[in-house]
Amino acid sequence: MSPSSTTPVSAEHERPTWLYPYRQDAQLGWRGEMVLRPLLPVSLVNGDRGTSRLAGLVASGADLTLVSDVLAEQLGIGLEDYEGEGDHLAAGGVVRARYKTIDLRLHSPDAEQDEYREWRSKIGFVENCWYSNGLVVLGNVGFFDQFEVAIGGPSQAVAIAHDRGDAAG
Amino acid sequence: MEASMEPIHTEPIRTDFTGYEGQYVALDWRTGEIVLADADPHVVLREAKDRDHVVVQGRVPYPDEPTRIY
Repeated sequence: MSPSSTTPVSAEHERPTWLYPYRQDAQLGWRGEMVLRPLLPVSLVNGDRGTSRLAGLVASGADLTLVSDVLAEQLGIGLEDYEGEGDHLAAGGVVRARYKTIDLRLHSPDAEQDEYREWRSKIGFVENCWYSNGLVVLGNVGFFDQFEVAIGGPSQAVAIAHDRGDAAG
Repeated sequence: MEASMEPIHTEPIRTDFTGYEGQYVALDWRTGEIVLADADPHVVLREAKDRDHVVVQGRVPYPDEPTRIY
């Protein structure tokens, strides 16, 4: 066995795991208990236009990444030109989503850094969006299909590894 | 991702949302401090654009609004 065979071929390309502490959600939660949630800094990009950084809720039970349609204005997206639509059960009710393919960015947990991972996916823009607690829900299509994600219980953190897909930034 | 049974110790970021009920807010992502608030989400999104460390979280619910379960 050659010395080099002990080093994984992918080692030089490996990226560090990003660790995001849980954050307090705006709602107090059940019977006054404070709610801490896995919220990540993300943004949406459409060509040369992009959104502000947004708090995206990591939701493994969501089939699809859903965002509020108020973000379409910042992106210069006309939702009348959509790539399909469908109803989804979310936030205690049925929401109507129109699908568009755009670029998404996950920003570094270190707010001092400009580093991000970018990928392209079809997501759903929700009309008359859920009214509180956020503008972005990160679901299986559009997020979990891009990263290895570990959501801690006692750790109260989200760990994101970058060894799935070609997300880059 | 390397497997580990060791818990990761991090401090959750906490924010005092009191007084911002019904408004969309943006936070300083480092501290959790609210730096922008307005009832119109377009205003908060526009003002947060290009600001360093600022992340738009969403709308703060009123105390009597139903708790969201996703």
